[in-house]
Amino acid sequence: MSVLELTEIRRVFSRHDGALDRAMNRVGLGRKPQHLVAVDDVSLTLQQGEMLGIVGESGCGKSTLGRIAAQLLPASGGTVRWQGQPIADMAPRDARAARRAIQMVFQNPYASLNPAMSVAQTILEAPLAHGLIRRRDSAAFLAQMLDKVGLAPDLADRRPHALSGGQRQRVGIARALAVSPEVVIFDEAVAALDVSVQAQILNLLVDLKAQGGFASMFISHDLNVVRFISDRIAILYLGRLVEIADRDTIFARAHHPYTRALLAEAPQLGGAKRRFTALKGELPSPLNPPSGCHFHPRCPHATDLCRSTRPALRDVGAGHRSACHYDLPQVAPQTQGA
Amino acid sequence: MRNAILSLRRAPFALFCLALFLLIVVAALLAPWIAPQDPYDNAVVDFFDSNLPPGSPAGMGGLTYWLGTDALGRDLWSAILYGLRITLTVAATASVLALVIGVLAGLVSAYAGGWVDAVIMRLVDILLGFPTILVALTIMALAGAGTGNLILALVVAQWPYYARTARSAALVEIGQDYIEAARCLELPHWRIILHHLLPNSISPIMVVLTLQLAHAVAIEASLSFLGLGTSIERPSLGLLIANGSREILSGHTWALIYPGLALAMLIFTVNVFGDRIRRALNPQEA
Amino acid sequence: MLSVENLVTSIAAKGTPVVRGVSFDVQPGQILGVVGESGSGKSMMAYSLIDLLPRGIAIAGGRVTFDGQDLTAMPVAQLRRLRGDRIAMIFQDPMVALNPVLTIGEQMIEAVLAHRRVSRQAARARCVEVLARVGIPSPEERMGAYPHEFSGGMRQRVVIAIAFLNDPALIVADEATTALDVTIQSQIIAEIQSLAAETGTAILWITHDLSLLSGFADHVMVMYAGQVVETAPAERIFAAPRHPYTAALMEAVPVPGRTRLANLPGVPPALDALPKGCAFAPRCPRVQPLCREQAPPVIQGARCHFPLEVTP
Repeated sequence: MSVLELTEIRRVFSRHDGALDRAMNRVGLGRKPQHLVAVDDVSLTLQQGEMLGIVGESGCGKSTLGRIAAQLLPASGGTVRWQGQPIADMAPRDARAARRAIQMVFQNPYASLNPAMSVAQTILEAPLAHGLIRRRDSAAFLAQMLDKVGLAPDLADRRPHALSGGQRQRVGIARALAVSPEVVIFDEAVAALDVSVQAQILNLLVDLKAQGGFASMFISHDLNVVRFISDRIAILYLGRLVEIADRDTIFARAHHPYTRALLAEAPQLGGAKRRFTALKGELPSPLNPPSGCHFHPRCPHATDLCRSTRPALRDVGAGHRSACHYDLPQVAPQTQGA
Repeated sequence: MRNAILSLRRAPFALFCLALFLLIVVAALLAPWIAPQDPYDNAVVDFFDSNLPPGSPAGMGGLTYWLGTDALGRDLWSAILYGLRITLTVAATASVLALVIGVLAGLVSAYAGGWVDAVIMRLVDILLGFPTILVALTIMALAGAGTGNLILALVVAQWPYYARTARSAALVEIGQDYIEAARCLELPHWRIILHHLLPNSISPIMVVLTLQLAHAVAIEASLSFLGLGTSIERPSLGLLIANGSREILSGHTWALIYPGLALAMLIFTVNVFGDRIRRALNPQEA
Repeated sequence: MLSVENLVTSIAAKGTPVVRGVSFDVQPGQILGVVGESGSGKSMMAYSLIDLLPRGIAIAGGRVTFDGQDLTAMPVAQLRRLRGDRIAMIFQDPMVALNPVLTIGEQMIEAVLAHRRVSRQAARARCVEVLARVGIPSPEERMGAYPHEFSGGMRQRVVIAIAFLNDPALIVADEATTALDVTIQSQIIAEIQSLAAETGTAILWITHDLSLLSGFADHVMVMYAGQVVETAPAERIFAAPRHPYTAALMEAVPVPGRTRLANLPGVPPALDALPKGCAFAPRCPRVQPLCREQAPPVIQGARCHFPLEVTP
């Protein structure tokens, strides 16, 4: 059953679009507003208990999508459904409950904790404020949360500046889990960490996932990390969903040429020395995206159809959808060094 | 903030000014106990001792007027101590009220954004557009003299400074992920403002407090000097200076010089100390 | 060509070493990858070579020989001439190397003229050629653009073009592609690879990303707590790491099929409070009593009392 459903989500950021600009526009003196379509008609569903990986390069809209899903940013269009019901149509009380059930873990472990609050205050604040636990049970609850994320009990009174990056990220996870969320959105949650610390946190996430209790979106630019942790993977390019499938399907039978390029470029540990064969061209500016299929200027297979018409996201197999006009033949799995 | 205070250790002059300021405050608070005379008690003040130069003995004996007396025969030293007490009370009360109102307005403005922000900040801009003394004068002219109105005038004139500083400090913090996290946890807005924004925006506000406190003392003195402040029976430092200035042509310079010196010392010490904290908090400016 | 012998770099005031006796050689055309986590001393080691250490940190011992000259004993002015000519640098943030108020062309021509006695036209032609080479479209026009008119990836390519300008003998790159997207990273690495192959430029490539090095470096040096803990040809080190830290780092990287990553407990030691014996001992899964007592020797490229056996 789907817990969270995003339908045709769209988010436009505008510059020169304040009240003054609009007034100036009306009298013909304004600057033309610039629009950036950060998320362009993305539909996704999050099933109970699954971890959905969201992958893309900078400017693909993955973080914006995560913030919309977490209700931190309003969408310009589309619907967010919580257990089948649009959050926008809910009674305020229910909407608050739904929002509280969707939590977020942030990228930067330095900026995501309040420097003035201790570990204990950070974790306990929300459950106490919402009456989820009683004050006299808070010590036991705190001990349980610290244990859950692998933090020693004696860290409870520390302030963030006295914690390592990995410990801070664990506090951030504990803070999110403390309100018993049903969905957790991890936004580049391991990107800022050293390799060995990143491994610790990924292991923790695997354990937490195994204990069940929440579905999650794992937003990352790192295909290797997403492959390790996710059940399903969605690939975004310049605000659009280009491919989504089970993890193994993506890696075995990627359909979209962009996905294939990403797979080919991701550094692989243990691969023999190889010549890097670059995908040609720059990542286009989201302010001025290419026509038709956004990927066509860099795509080796692009045709006139790709230049003129936006490809629809279509079924190409069981639960496997891709936004490419063509069914390109599968190349043999790339053997590195070849 | 803690570091700022620690860094004072390496600034002996600022530390000296802080000590001097605290000494002035303590002396003002203890005025009823350390002043040789109660300048408000007509039974004690001897009108025949008016305008005596410093060092004169009291006509009734038992007391030396070390700083002389004023036109009403009050011991100037005692009057300064009592006047300091009034000035400091007014300035401190007004500063604290202005801080509370201004900081709340600034934080709410930054947090709410949109039209709330626009309304509050335009009001702040308008008030900051006029000289502080003019704003205070207008309030006094409308409300009339008296200590309560004096405080009101200072609050109206000064809260915009706190509001603007609090807003800009809060805007920096609002960009941080921990505020997003707090919003994500559906914490009540007042809680986010008081528990998350306030503690992390407080440092620059404390700097404004020290500088504005000095400013409040100066404005209070100015208003009293213009006769819009405290009552003549219970003169603040500003009123003492005003009275003293009327004596200057009669050659009774002490009635102006000593209260003026006390005011200058008060403002100077607070300013030096406040400036030092400001520089400690913005190392790139130092 | 570049030879480093027992380099020691310390925080001058406290005497805390940040680089503790690093030795290595780089041959022309060789790509030497240096990998380590934050605080491993990899950047400080690189900055020591080219005299770009932050204030308060200085070389305290050892020799750095480049083309037969001792860099540590060289006058500052001479070293500065060497930098940007025979030795080029690339940093993570391209804006460090670019002047925001000059056009790319002005900066590049200046970089050529500072080291070469050629005409302005010749210098300009050289710049355009190099820009084209690193994949900047319509380089002639882009010469007139300011740094902010380029995207992040393009900017980094300009920096790399500047590094290529004078056919340096050595390029030192510190996390040069870390901030870039994976497709852009591949493009840049492709350029570096062909430069090393075609002109014999030696590359010192510093990164935290072991996976990146595995397809790219000829030789790999792993640093931990200011020391080189393992050094070996890339193929050998990725096939069979000898030092437990190298092994743990490799097991900490998510690779297909892996369901659990190495759990290295704790964090690297503070450099002013190093443990007695082996610096890695407190986190090592194979630690023995001896490791906590005695600093380990270097055995077959690994600084370890009990290196992992190499299975043939």
